[in-house]
Amino acid sequence: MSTSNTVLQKPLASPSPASVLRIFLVIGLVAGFLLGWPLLKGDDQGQVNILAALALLALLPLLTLLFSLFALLRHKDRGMAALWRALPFLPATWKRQLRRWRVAGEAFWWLFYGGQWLAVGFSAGNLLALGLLLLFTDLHFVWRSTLLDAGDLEPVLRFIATPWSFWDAAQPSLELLARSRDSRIGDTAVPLPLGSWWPFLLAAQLCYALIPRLLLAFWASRYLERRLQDGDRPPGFTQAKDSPQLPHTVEDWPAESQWLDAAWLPAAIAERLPQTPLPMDEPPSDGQQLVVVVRAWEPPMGELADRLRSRQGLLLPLDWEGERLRPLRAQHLDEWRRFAAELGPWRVLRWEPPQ
Amino acid sequence: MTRPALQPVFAVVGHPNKGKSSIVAALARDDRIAISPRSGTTERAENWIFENSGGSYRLVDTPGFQRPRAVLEWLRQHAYSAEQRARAVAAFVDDPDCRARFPDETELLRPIVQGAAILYVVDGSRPYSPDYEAEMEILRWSGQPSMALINPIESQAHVEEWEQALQQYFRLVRVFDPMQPRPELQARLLQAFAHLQPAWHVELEAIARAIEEEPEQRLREAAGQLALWLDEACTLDACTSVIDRTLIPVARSEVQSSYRKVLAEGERKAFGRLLQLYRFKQTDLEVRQLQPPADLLDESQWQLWGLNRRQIYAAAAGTGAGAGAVIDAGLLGHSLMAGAVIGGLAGLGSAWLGSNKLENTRLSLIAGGRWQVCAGPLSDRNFPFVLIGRFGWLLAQLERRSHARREAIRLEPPDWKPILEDLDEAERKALFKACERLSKQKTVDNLQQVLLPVLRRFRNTGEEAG
Repeated sequence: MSTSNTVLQKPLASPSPASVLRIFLVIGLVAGFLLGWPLLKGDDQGQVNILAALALLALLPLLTLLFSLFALLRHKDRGMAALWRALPFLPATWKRQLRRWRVAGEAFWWLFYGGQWLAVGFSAGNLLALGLLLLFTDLHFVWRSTLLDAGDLEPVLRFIATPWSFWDAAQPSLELLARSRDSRIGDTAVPLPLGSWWPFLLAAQLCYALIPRLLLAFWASRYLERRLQDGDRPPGFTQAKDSPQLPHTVEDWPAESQWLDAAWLPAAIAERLPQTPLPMDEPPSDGQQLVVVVRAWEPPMGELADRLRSRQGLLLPLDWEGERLRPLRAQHLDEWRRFAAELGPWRVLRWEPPQ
Repeated sequence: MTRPALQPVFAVVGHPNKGKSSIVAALARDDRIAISPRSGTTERAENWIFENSGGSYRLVDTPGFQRPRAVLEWLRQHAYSAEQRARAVAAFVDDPDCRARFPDETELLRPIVQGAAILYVVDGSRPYSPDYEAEMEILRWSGQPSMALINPIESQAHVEEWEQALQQYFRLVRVFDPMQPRPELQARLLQAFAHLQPAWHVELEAIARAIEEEPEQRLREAAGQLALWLDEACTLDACTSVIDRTLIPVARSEVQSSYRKVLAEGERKAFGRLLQLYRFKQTDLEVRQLQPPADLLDESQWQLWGLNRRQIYAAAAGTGAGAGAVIDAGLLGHSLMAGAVIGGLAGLGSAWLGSNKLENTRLSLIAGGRWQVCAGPLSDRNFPFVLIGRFGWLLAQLERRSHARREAIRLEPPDWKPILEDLDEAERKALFKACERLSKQKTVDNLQQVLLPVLRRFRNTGEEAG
């Protein structure tokens, strides 16, 4: 009975991290913009409630970030996957994919990864809305409270601003707080540059939303790619690696060399090879190294071995379609390396024509 | 010409690494044949038998040509006229000196000299080259009936130029992709060959006919296997007894564990039988063991493999009402028929009450003051659907899987919706009723017949996807 070896076959196709990234990023961007625009636009006088803006740009991101980290620690995907599947706009192919992920125990990682990009998109949408409003409207950031005064709020805002304490313009001050207070009782409207709140809001958004989410997204992306590389390999298949027993390939075309002409080599490709060819079966001039061009896809045969055994030089496997060179396949390269190793004084030349 | 072998025999020959072994695997329907991306893995000729109700034939997987020019040169020196050529080939194979100098060629030509017909394999995705002419000439010298098979390993880019070249050496030239299992193509190939070799005509025709009839017979057999497995799985339980009441939690955990093991083992065997039916002997099956989910109140896992909640309600309503119209309503969104609804409410109610109660263990006091703890049988109405879904999905995979593939099969949850939609009203009603009875541990008469259309739909979804 024969034993079976495995061939490299990619199993069922899964979406790549990049395609998941794009979809979640776009959803987040649109949602962030649509939610951010009315909230940051303020009322008819252009007055924006700082506390509401903070809730959107700092509190919400912070809470969702904590939720994300908590999910990472608990590593449970049941609820998340079910939630996503319940979304009416999710295409059927995605729902099917979610089922696959769940069965494979991978749903959590994909959703975690998608979730990070969703948050990145959401944050970018918020920032886009803020940027456009700052550019085209005159925003007045104010705050209102029946119970609190500026002195109560200042330490809280200072605490929030601790991570960017090196950025003075983005630090809240008691004076700014006091001037920004708006009250429907009495005349507290102060015609001051109350737009100077925006660096604080921008820093909050960067610090609590965009940067941590980007970091998590990159980490999740690397983790997923590693999982994909491991998981896509069918059992029994070990990735081809350079074997120490095989001769090293030569990467540069040797200066002192001549290559052996072959009738089957397309003229357009022959013209791209350096130097002029030696007529078939003619020995190279003294001091010149012999380069033998071979068709990479044709397995080396005994009759070629017979021809080469008494000589030495370099084997140049080339792959082409029509008159266009194609990149060498690892499988073909390995074949020729093994062949060269068996021949002894032969090595494989890996050469790419200059562009 | 060499006398043909009594049994049809085909020597599969060609350049190294052009898919000879894949073609042998596909034509022999045997996944044990060594297939490697590395050339020269076949060093000795190996015999593989294909057998069905029509008869049998033998395939010989051979090493690739290594020195065809030198061999042809030798032959030319030993045959001066056409009538001597076949004898020269036989002499070459028997010559000890040739065996030492040309081990691959003597090995590959031996079965041909002994009467095997020739299946010459080339790669249609790469350009034709005159380098192949020496070996084709050698094969022609053997005088045996021959057919060239163009194997489009990566593409069909060069099939046409190969056809033009091969037609000069072979009477029959066919494109054959061993990675696409097409019984009708295999049958046609044999029928074509039957015309080339009159001695094998009757047997090859009979084998071809049997190949064409095989899919339906196989499906019937698979339905029979599934019926047995369903009946077994739905009545399965694991019990133990204890005297000391305090040991009940331990016993509970033990019976749960053995119940899961027995269930998983039962499914493994059922899948094994299905693989055997499809002639897969060595293919790995990455099946997550069928185990009730750890939290038996969690129905979401069951919905992956079986029906979803809505479909379950529709099934329950349908079996209660005895009207396909309700099923249609539940599944396909048609308007409800008032009369059917009233009847269906009873079943619907029971589905609602029962859907989240996957009974875990049962406890009862038995003779001698002992406590009997049992796990199973599962009474969840989705359980039979889960089992059918898994079996049907595997069947669909096997239906479109070539024996030349070597990667593992991965089991994934099926999509029941199109399958249920495709069943006609009577078939769907019979299925729901059968599953309802199975979930109550009742025997279903003629379960195989009920399952046959369901598996046919699974098979068709496999074909469409393929």
